[in-house]
Amino acid sequence: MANSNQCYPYCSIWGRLELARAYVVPQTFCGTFNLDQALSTGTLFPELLRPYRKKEGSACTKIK
Amino acid sequence: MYEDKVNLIKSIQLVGFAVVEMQLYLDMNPCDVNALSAYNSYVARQQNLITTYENMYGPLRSNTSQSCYPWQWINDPWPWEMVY
Repeated sequence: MANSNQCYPYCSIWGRLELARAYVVPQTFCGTFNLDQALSTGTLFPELLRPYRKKEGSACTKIK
Repeated sequence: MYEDKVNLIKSIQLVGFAVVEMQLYLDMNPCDVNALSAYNSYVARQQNLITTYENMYGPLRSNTSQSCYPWQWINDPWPWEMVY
């Protein structure tokens, strides 16, 4: 039988802590990239574009 | 000539990607009339492009279009063997 102290809500020396919760904001259709741009960037939807630019001097850049 | 063929296959890839993207969106938002309209428009473009390609260069898929005689699917190059 589980020790009730170890179950949610979790009590610790930091107090009563809550578990992490994930959420996703619903996407709303509001236009598209042109098709060339969509395929090259990897999404048709401008609101989903995440370019993830490399930092200067990062390990990946140095390998080049 | 070959350039036309490559441009056509690239157009099919571009619009095919848009169709998949809209499909995924509509799975989550089936009542979005603007998105559905965009999806239908992309599908129509895709069908037109595929029909144009297949009329000129042969089948893109083995079992979704009619073939003239003799059976065309076995002809080289296969769609994924095109060099561009």
